[in-house]
Amino acid sequence: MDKNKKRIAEEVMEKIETLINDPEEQKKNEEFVRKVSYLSPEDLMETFNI
Amino acid sequence: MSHEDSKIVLTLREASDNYLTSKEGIYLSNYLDHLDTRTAVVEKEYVDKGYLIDYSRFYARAFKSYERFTTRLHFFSVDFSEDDFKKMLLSSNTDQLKEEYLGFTVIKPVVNHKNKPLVGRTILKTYPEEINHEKRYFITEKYHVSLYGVPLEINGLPYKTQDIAVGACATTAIWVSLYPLNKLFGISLYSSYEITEKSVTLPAEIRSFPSEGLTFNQMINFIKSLGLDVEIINIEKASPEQKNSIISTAVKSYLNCRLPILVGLTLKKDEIDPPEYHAVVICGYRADAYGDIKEFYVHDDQIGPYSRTIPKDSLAEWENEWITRRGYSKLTVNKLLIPVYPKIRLSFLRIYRYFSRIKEEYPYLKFDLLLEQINSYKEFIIKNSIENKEELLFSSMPRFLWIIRGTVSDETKKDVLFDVLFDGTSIFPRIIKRVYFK
Repeated sequence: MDKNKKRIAEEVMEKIETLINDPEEQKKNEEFVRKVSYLSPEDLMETFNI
Repeated sequence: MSHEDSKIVLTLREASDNYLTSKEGIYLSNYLDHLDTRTAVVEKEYVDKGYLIDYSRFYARAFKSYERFTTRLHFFSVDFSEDDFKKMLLSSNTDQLKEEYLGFTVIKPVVNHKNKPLVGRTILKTYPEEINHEKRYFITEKYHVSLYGVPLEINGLPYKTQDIAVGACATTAIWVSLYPLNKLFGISLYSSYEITEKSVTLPAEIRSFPSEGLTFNQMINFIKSLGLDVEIINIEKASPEQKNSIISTAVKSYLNCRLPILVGLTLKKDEIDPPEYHAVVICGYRADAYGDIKEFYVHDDQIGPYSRTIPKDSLAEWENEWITRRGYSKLTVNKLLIPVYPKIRLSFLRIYRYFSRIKEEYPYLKFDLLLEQINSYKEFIIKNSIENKEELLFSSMPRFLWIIRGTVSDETKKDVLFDVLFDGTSIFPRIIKRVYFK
């Protein structure tokens, strides 16, 4: 891999590491998970019957 | 009895006129025509295990008599007569049959409300993988078939139409999803009756048999009863700008790992009518050179296998026969339900947002999110040019990995720069390795 591509790869991988270890990002992540996986009682009773 | 009833080798037209007369049968006939099917071979009194279980649990106890045996049709992309077929069999000259095999469909001896025979277990070849510089991806497995002693093979995903006596769309979608789960994780296969029966151990106010459908809760209940867990993505709760990206990323990630995606759809005829709910399975997609999804292929028990589904304004708004022929005006993806092995503890949603954030930070790079089993990923490592190959191959790693892959591309070529490997068995994202491509 040429030096420039290696530099980009290193930079992006560092950024990923920083993001997953950032407490603020972790908090936002958990909020997102709760929101998009939430099923209301009505959701659970939707009947798939076509 | 028509003349064709006594023949075992038919043209596609003859097979369609005699057996493929339901709306799903007509779809199959058109699909087979698209595959350039030339000849069908009839296997009478075929014992289909799934139907036989449904028969013994439901139909055998009806006052009316039902047949126990089914009829299986095998399809070939080559012309031959009945005499040719018998000569091939008797002289063991069956190579051409093996090469030109397109799959089979089982026709059940029970009919729908229009008195048309129901389409049972069907495994057919998929659409070609390449089309005008675009690629199609499918979940397929190899299935072994025996036709009058001739061993045949077909790669595909089993399909069947719903039999309302024993299960509606949700039961049939679960039935489809069990086949790849059986190959991947050794999960047992169940008939429609058995799926409905296990699902309704969680009570609902609707009738169990004849089936009036399953609630979303009952679908989850069945999957968990197998010892699997579920990943639920409630698309309705995502923001409009997130929906496209979540659906695209989830479909590519899970199909890459050969995991089927059950989709809860909302159908509306107009703004006044109440919504109706339908369940299907995404079994493939077509993507352009940039990786953007242009078409889904869906096993829809009321349309047919590999039903072509076009995203309208977003990947959450679909257009297929429900819109073009069945009088509905809106078909919306409301939920994705993915049966997962319990050891895949790092959920899609927990890794997805970081993946999405990194895409925002580096818009000039292309990123993919992949779910992989370690064995197949190490095979990939062996085959590719990687700087730290030795370290990776000799490292102990978890059975499941989530991978963020970074790629740089220009008009002429695409270079993978790196993979970041996450422990798929951890609760929260945890990086275990960095992979540097040469």
